Amino acid sequence: MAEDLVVETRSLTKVYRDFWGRKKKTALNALDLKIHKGEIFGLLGPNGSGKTTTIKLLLGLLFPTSGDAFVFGEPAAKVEKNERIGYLPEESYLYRFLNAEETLDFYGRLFNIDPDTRKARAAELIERVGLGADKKRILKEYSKGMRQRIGLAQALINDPDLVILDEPTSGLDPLGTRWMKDLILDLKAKGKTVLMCSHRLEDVQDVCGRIAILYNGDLQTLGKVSTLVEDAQRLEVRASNVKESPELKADLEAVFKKHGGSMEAIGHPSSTLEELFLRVIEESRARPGRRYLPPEEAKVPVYGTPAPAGTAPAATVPAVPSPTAPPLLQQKQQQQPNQDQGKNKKKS
Amino acid sequence: MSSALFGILQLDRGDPWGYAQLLGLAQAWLQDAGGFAAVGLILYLVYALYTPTDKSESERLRVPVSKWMLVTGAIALVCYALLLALLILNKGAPPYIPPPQPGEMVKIEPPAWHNELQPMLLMIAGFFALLSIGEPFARDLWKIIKRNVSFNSSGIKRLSRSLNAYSNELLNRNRVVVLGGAIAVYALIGVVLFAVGAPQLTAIWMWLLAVGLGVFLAALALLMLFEAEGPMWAIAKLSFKEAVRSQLLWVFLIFLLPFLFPAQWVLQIKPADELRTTTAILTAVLSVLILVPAGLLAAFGIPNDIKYQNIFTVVSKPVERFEIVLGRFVGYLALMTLVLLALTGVSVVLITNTTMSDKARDETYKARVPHRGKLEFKSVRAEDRQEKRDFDGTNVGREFDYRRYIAGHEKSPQRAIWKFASVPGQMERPEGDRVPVEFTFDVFRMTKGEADKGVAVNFTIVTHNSALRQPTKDEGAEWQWVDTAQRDTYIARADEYRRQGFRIDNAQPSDPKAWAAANKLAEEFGFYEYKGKQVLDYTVMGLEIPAGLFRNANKNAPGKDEKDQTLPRLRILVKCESEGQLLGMAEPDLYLLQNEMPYALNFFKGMVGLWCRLCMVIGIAVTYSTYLSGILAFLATAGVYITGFFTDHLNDIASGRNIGGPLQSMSQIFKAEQPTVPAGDTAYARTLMFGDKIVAWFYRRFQNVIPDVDSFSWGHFVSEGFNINTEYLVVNVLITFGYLIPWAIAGYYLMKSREVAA
Repeated sequence: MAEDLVVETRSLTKVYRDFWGRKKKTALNALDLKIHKGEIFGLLGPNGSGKTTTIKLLLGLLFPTSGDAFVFGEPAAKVEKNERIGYLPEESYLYRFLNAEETLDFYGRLFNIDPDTRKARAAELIERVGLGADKKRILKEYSKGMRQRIGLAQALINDPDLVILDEPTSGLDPLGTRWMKDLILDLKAKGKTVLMCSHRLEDVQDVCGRIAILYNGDLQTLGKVSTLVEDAQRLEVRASNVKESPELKADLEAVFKKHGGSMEAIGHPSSTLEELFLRVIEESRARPGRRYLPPEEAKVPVYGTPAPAGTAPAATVPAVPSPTAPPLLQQKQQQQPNQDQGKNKKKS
Repeated sequence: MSSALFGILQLDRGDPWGYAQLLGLAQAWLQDAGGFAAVGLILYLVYALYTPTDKSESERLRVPVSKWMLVTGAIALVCYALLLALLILNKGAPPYIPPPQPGEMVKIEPPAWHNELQPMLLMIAGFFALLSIGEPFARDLWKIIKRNVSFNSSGIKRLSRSLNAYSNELLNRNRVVVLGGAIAVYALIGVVLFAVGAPQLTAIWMWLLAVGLGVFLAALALLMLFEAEGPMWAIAKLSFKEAVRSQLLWVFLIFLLPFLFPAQWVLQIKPADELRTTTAILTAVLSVLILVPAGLLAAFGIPNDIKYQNIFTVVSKPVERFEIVLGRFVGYLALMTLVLLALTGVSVVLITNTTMSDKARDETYKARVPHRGKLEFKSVRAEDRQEKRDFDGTNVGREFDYRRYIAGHEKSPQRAIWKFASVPGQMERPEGDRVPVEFTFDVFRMTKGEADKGVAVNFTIVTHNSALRQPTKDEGAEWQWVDTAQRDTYIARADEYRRQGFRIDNAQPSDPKAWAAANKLAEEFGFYEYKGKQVLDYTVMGLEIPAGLFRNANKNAPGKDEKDQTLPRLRILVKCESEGQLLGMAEPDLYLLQNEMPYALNFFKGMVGLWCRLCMVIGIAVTYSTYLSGILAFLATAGVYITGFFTDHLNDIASGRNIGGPLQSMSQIFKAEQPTVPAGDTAYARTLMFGDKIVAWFYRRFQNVIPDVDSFSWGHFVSEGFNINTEYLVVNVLITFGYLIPWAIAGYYLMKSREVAA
């Protein structure tokens, strides 16, 4: 096994059987997979395609019907390999009668981390996942998003080299989703390997370097995201400070025709709903009290500070990206030409 | 509630086991546990055969089959094959002890080491089967121990650091406020009680404070133990917290409150039975209140983890599967032990500080240390009797009564004789130079007798130095001195004392002069007699014996009797003098009182029996819960435990002591036949009998899975005022752990083979 190989499966197969040993379903069929150190790998597929089964087989929660799985070169059944793994299950299945501190202390002790390190790391992780104010509340009282955050914290308590995330953005609001994606990118930046599975394609596309698509237990596609989603038959051109006009359209058509192609569409690029949401939230944070006003009340602007009765409408707030926009948003805006090839096809 | 019935003590099922039985117990354990290990080994190898261990490294790691397992397994197989050959050839079998006939009392023989070939082969086969199946278990257990137990300096350092952190955490502001408030309220109650002048309540207040402090310190020690590094302790602490934070335990504890009041407040009880009844009720209630929640907690722990998928986040950590099982067991056991300790403490405080009648105090507010003898019955010699066999007491026809009776008459030759092979040295110089004998007899009246009067009973106590012998037909009813010259000297010396004015007949310590004379006489001749003692039905009564008699008993080595048997050092001959009355007795009904210990300490000792049962219930429930759902695990545990109350009945079926068996009984039920009607010699009846033999075979194989629950119920000892000796206690704790080891191995394999995410 190559030194930088973190996960390897060889013809990994899982067949679920009933009590009498009769075959119920082939959840995974002869999966061959290699995940290298430092990459973010995504497992994609519809429900029941075998994503979670693969993860459970890697963690030893299930036993293979045939084939083998290795993590850090060790067989999946060896518990010692778990020293270097952090795992966030699909739903954050934690002990609801514990509070956040107790939860992290418990999981830290399972790794035999010494008390001082455990305590320091727990405190840092609680702050990092934004639960500092709620650390004494028992998990039963947490919202789903909060449980997902503490779940992630427990997955990171041992400072793992491989982080396995099963539907990490499930149940998170867009802010939480962005936070989670930032965190995944941050893990990559620290040299960690991340294996995540999700059926929220935009999340996977945003963070994963390579993906595998499973369907009905079979591996359908495997490769780099950028390569897989690239449409080599089409070309995207972007321009700024140009007004859309029939002349421009005609000129462009002529240019494309000259090079043997044809123009499909021309128009203004649109951002994603996620980007819009994040922008609005950022602006709201920057200006407390800001709220939506109907057009007839606000005259021209859509967003404004509510004015007292009888006073003039509030001044228009320009819809510009917040200067305090978080890294992902900025990164996405900067990487737009490369990253958003699939999303903004109509702009070409 | 009936009066004192010493016979109902556990002793009726045989002598209490001590260190002398350990070797026999170990052999029996190897045979039984080894048998189950052999079955488990076969199942495991079949499972390994169907697992793709040849193609998958993971599966090879998960289902290991080492050379060691195969070699030791093969040796076990060879031993079993040899044993089978010996069984077929009928060679090397241990002495056959026929089961008691229907209607006779079952007396369990204490386990003894057997040197015969068959038991030895069975033991060796079992030993190797255990070595084989236990290899992966032992390997993983060693790994777990290494990770969780640290005796080196770094371990101690880590523990002390944890203790420091824990105590800092424990004394946070909220807790200090709550604790301070509780202490202030309790102190206020104490001050009020003291000011009002209620000494009894003040005593209860003080003792409860002591119990509370004791339990608090024990809890602190336990929690700090859980702070020791290692996943097992973390899971134990988790189980502890889970149980404390669930309401289940507290709901059960509320049920205890009504039973803490003395029984005489709510029931009409004879004064002598006040403490006995209260103790019996409390021990029974404590058993239920401890065992049921323990069973529920242990049975639902792992299944709930699997159901709610919490286990995903635990198994995906570097934690051995068996660590989870052990952690759960330790956590629940620790918590329930604390609860047991607290409840026992509170019960003892309330019992010991409640007003009770003097009779109850005399009879049961103590822990007697008895020295017991062997009982036998004698009448005229066998050759002089019509049936030409030895007399073994009269059966008066009481269905569930195992006491045997002697007929009362002045000239009755019938005697009940307690033989004491040894006499403890401490009896030679007891306080007041007297040794009490206590007894409780059953009086079976053939005639009405006199109101409020008992029956007259003679007690003759003799040592081996003044041996008496059974009379011949011509010698009448009285037992004869073997040495007639010695008898004559004794009579002469006694007469001399009488002439000097000493009332040596029936002398008791209340007359010191007579007692001193009786003591001298007893020491010199090894003979003492008390005539006409009025014995009441089912009442604890006593008699003082001069300690000189015991000094005499320990002189010289005992000789042999006419059957060349070594004479016992001491014999107590009991004769009933009242005509028309029968006096019933069983072996535990009479004993020499060696010492008296405090009742409270004995109550705590009695709870060790409950603790053993607690270990069993939690162990069985946790093992079942590794594979079954919570409710099934609980029901299965309850099934095993409740069946444990009927081990005698199971033994009867297994040994074929009962005529017929389950199939025949079922047939009788369907055909509405009388159970006492013989089955007849038809093909149908023979088929049923054959089926019952097969059932009995299976029962014999599996009867050891069922714990003998009754043998761990020591409430009778406490309520009857008998000390539970330390030797008995240690042996039973060892038996408990011996019983739990096969369950632990089963739990290990079940948990390891379970797909927690399936």
